Amino acid sequence: MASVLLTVLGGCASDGQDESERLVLYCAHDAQFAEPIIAEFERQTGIRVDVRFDEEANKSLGLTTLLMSEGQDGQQARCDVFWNNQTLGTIRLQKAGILQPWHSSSADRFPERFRDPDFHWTGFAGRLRVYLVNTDQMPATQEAVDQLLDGESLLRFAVARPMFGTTLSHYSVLQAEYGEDWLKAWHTDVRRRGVREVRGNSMCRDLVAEGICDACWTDTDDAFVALDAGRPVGMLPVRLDDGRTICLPNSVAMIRGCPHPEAAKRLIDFLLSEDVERRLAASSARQIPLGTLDDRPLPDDVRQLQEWASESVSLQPAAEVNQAVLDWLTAESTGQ
Amino acid sequence: MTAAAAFAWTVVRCLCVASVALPLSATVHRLLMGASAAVGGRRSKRLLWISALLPLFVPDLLTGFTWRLTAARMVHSAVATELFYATLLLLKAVALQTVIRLLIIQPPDASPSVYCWQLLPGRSIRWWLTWLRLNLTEFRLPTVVAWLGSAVMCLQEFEIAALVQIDRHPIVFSVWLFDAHAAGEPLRRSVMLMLPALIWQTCLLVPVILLVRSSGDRELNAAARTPSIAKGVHRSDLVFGGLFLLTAVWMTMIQPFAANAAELFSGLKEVINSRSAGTRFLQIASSIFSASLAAGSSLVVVMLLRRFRRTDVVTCCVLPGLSGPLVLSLLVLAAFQLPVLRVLYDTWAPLLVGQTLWLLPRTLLLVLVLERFAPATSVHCAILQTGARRREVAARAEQLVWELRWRGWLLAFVLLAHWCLWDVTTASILRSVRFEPVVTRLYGEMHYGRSEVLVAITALTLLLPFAGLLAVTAVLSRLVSWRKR
Repeated sequence: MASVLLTVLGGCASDGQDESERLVLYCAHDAQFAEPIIAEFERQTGIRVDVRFDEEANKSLGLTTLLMSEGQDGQQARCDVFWNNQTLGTIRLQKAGILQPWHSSSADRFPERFRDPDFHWTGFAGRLRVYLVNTDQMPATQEAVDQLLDGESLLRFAVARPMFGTTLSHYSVLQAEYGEDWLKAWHTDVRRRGVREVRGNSMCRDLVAEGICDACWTDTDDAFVALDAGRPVGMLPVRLDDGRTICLPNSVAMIRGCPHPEAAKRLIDFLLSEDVERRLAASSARQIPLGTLDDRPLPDDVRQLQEWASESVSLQPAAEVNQAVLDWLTAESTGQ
Repeated sequence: MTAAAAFAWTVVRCLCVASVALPLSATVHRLLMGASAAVGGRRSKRLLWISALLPLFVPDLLTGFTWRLTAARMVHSAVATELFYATLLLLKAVALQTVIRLLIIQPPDASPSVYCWQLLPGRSIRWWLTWLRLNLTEFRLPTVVAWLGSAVMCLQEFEIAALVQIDRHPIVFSVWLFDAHAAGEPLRRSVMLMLPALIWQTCLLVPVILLVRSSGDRELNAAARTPSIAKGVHRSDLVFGGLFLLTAVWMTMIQPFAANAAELFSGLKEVINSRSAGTRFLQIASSIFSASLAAGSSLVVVMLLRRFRRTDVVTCCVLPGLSGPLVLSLLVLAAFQLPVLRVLYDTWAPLLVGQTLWLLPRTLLLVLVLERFAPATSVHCAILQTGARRREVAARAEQLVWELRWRGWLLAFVLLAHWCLWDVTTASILRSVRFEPVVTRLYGEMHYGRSEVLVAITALTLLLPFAGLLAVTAVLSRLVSWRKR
């Protein structure tokens, strides 16, 4: 009973831990993969990490918006470190002045296109945008997917709502590459042809795995859930016209005016380490290591993903148009 | 789609569902009352009651998760999707209406008030208004309250709709509002968008308050229930009510269990064998504790509010809850980010305040109904009887006091805590960093595709409070039997 009380009233009560030996992490990465890594950090450093995960129920409403609201009026920040599961939201926070630069020694492992030049944030361990195909319905080849997408009907093709998550990033990349007019015309066209818009990538995956749709856009971590479950699916990367892929790294950043800056720096150093990238690669999500690694081998399927990720597009141009894309989609969705 | 279109669509659906539910709940109610009066078959009677109330206690998460792919298969027909969602809503609406009908004492066949009023000369507007009010309160109170209550519930529904929605169907205002806000609409605009729904729900709730308050002490009419009991179960009620209950049990219990049973046992094994088993049990227990606190505090607040005899004061106090969990939670969060409340921001206070406010309209409805159900004079008479010399009479009176005074309150408390425990919006927005309610975890597990763990934790979260309730009941019955000796 005492434990229950302490848990519920946790925010009010200190459990005896020295305040300098703890920190608050907002984590948008899936809890099942992040928790063991955080536990390892606690074990190695003795620093207690209080984590707030980005609940799937909240979608994008969660941590980015929360950090924006907490950063208003020069209030004392609650959060020390933000571990985002993609990058564009983090760049929005940087533009809003919520982030504080920290040049971690581990950040130098990563190519420049995956980190901020001023080290407000650093990207690591990415996911790719992929087509997930039901192989009972059609072959998992680029030709077959192109044929489906060029057809008159897209009733059996699913995408997640583009206002949220990685599909918003995907749209932003498309606008950055091909321009606003092209994106709007394309969006109108696929809707006219009946593309199925669902509420998230996991639902896209389920529709394809169940054979309700033939193919969808999703992320590699969602695709592997279906593949590991032995569903009749195959995946191939989404490529732009010039063959480049779309890789969306996790990103980590320190919050401006955070209460535990020293502990925050240690956590960022830890998250950007090679060991963490290897752990994430070995997880069932198969996050793709983006930094330099030693010679130890990676799992086969991750090596394949690594090849695709090496061909990925830079996200900086997409970050520039991200807010405009969101504003347009919001206005369209709400009928304004 | 505009806010007005989404709202209009939702209101029409709510009114249709609440109206279709009326004859069904009346049938189920007659079936339950008739079966209760029948001799023997205590276990089957209990089963019947559980079947009738089940949809209110099955979490929306479980219902939505189970039926989401079925809804997806209907994706090529907007009508089928809308009808399917309306059916899921109907199950809950009928269950709520049945509860209200069970709690409100049934109307008599004739009313002295109406008869006397009709004798008065003059047919002014005021005369007609009073005649209408008297007719509603004397003859149609359970029907009107049940209809209005279920319409409010349908309007606020969010989770099932969000889980079964593909493309734009079913069109649900609460989901539309969530998406608009999540896509970046500022809080001020979300509040403005919510206003029509707020006004609409107030229009539904105020008549409930007025009607129930003006219905007077219906104790004398209690005898009116007896004839319907004495009639036993009518064949048509048995057929239609029985068919409906079978459908409800299948859709809310059997199918979810059948769809997930294979994963339940392996999921339970995984949860128990995992290193985080203790954390998970603690998480469930603390979530139940937190929800119970919010349920208790909302009951206390409503009891305090009842001291105000002014309906406008009471209505103002329940208004925030009518804005729905999303807007309410965002407002509470913004309030606790103000400098004056900032010290409480990262505590459990925002969650308690938010959940209490969210529960207030439902609590008020339940309390109003309960107060009608247990008139003070009946309770007082039963209390006097507990001092009887004959032990059997005193024991029976104690049981009566329990039934009249506390059983309904316990049921209301359990129902409120249950609603609170499974509401993901308030929990995910208002929780402190150090407390993760179990329901938010469940949504995460669903997203990760770990349906085994999802099913296992859902089962534990459902079973633990039930086991606790059984334990409390066992202890109480022991105490009663000890006192009888």
